[in-house]
Amino acid sequence: MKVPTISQSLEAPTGDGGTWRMVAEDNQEWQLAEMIDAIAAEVDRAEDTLALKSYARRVSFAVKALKLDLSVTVRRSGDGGVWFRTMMPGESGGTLLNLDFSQILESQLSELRAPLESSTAQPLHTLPGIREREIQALAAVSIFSLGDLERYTRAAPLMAEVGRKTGIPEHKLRRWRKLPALLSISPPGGASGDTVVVRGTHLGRQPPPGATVLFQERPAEILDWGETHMTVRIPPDVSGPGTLYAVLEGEPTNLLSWEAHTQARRGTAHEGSAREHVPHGRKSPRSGRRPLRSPRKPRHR
Amino acid sequence: MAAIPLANLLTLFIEGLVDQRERASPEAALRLLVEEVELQVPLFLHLVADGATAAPESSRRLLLTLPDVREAPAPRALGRLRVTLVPRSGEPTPVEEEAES
Repeated sequence: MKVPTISQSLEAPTGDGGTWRMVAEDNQEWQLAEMIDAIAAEVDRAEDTLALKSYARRVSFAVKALKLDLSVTVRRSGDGGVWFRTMMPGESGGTLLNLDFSQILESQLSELRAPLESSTAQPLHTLPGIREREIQALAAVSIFSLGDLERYTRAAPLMAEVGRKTGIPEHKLRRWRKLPALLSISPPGGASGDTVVVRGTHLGRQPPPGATVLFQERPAEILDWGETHMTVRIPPDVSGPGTLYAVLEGEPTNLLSWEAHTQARRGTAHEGSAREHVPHGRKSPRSGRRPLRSPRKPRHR
Repeated sequence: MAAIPLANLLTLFIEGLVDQRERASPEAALRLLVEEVELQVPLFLHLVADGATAAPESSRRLLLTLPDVREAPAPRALGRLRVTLVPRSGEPTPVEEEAES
């Protein structure tokens, strides 16, 4: 049987019976804060995965408490930091480290999603421009009303997940939710220092405080802003294909594919619309890796 | 050695419990509903780089390795995961649904 690599195995569908492999070289050192962040992210991932299913299945469970007893080695670095590494099979003499996450998880429970009974009954066909097949695609993931749609798309990762499962472009879901959405870029490529216009909806008349537009994760200078457009300057040090998105009031928008040209190609970019970046499911590309999904909003606990 | 990320293990646990509750239909003569599950699993736990992930907050994954039953792990090498799972609050049990109807 072919044994997948770590990166492949991490993206294997849950419950598929696939085999994961762990090798000693992958066991990294960590500081306590990193471990706590990683555990919180794992719980988030599990909750994200289960969120849609819970609505479709009427019942669900939550993690009430999580405790870890870890056998670790401890090292003090030259700068005074304390580094841990968990023991591998066959090693002995470790230090026991107990981590109790009950309090963190209690706070997660308190922010549970609204119960099913509170769903607003306004039907989906009242949404502007919605098609019958889109209504059917939403119904297939148990979205039958505007209230369902609002709850299912409350967080950026869930919005992307609904888009993937229904085949409905994320910008369309965002327009229905009256959330900021990016539609296109003109031109769809350019060199550092060039000016591009990003078309969108519900962007606001003025950029909200702290608004950022990111080309390949690098912030761009904002030159002009309107309800349906923003003009920005391509930041330095970007190259090749990548993605563009904005962070408005702490919430990431949808992604658009975009390509940075070299200086030699400047001026050859044709006018047009960049296509929306559509991830193909959590278990695919980025993530030949896992597919690129909507930027995850950091959760602070 | 077989391993699984923590998030995937939690998902598997919870999906199994949801299946059980869904099978406890109102028509059943005897209804046993799981109200709280506490699991204590001996395992090796490793923090590994998820090279496929760009987002900084998810750049590391927690990989759990269950010990091979044919091996005798060295003393104190094994860690332990203890997790308590409860039904999500605010949802009716099958018994409550029947009483309401």
